[in-house]
Amino acid sequence: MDLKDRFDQATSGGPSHPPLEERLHHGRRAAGRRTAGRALGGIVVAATVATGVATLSTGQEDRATDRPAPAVSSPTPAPALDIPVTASMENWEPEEWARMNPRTAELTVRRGVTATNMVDPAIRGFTSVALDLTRDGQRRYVLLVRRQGIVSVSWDAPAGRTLREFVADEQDPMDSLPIATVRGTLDASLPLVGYRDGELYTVGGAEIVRVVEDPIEGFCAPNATAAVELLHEGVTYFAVLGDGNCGSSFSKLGDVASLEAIVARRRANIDWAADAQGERQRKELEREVAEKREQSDRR
Amino acid sequence: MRGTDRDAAFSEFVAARQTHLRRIAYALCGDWHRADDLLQTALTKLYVAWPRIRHEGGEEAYCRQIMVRANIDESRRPWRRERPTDRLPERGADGPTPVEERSALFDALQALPEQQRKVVVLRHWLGLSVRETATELGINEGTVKSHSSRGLAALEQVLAPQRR
Repeated sequence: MDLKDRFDQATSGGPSHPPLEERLHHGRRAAGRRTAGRALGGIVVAATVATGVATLSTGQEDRATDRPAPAVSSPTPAPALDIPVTASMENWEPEEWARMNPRTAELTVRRGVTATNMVDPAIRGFTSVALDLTRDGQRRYVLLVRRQGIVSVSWDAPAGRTLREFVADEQDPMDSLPIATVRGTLDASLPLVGYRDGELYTVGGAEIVRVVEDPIEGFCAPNATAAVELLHEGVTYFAVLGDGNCGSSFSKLGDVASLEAIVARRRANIDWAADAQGERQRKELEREVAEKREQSDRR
Repeated sequence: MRGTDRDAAFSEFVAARQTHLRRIAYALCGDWHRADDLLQTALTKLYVAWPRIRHEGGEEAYCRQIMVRANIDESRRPWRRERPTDRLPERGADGPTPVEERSALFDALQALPEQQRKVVVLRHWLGLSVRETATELGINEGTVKSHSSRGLAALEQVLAPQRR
């Protein structure tokens, strides 16, 4: 049994879910609070503008804060390069210097950050940008990549590299893989093979012996999946993996007999999980029907 | 998006994915009741942001990110908000999985430092890449790699004797 199977089993079960209506109720209430908060926010901004005028008239100095900028224009440091970067102070994580809107791909840098170089696109075929940024005298390379509506960000110190060399270092395909296969023991997974963007990747020195495409109906649908047998440092490994975050199964010869055996095991685990969930849902449904019948009888 | 459309689409998503999402929460916090709280927090935020998230896609990733990031703050507060009552509930709440039914792996996972645990769950159970894990946790990729290697080494220490 590999790490994923163990996690699957360890997290199965649990109490019944609350009714869907309860989930909805919490959401509706929060949405209502937010709408009210927005209306109130408009009043606060208006008050801030009025107060600002009064402050200027008394000659007091304006102080920079980490709070969201008011809805009035304020001076922001211009980027060193004429690139589409704007300044904003809203909701930044402590280590976040730049971000890309996942929908529009619009770039934003944090106030106080200066962009001095940019590679666009940084990775061929993807909406991606590499930036050379400076903040408070500290320099950092940042890579932003949008894949399937999700923007990932990575950064590092230049360490004597050019911006393009940094991008190349960040593009180790094995780091982009969904997951790993076993090496050494059943439970310690290290990357040997992975599936991403329709391609199988392996570490250097690993040889793909056999691939069975889409070996289990419904596994990781609608993504492509494969069962893979590969040879690495004289050991035969097996993997069942998909081109999505569905979790994968891995083993090696000796722990399982063949590629077909690991496929059968994975299929059995999927069936087991589906059966367990179906059984729970059936019981919940039976209980709800019984409760309604009881209420009806009481009336 | 009209309210009824939102409710219908949101309900459909919750019905399909709440079991899986709560298992992630359970793996992160090790307690079914806390996992329920964590999931409810994520679903409530998802409902508020639903029009935007639905448009962009990635509803599940959005929930997952809220859970892995929210857990830190939530664990600083008391989880149980118990109030005295003179009425017993009609039906006893299902308890957590008995200790003997929990695997040594799961206990070892819970013993990991929080950030290591999150990295192991995201990377080695859910199968996210180093980059995706870093993005969801809001940490650097190098940090993901070091947490991953330390976390797996710690789990291996617990599990290795079982195989002997």
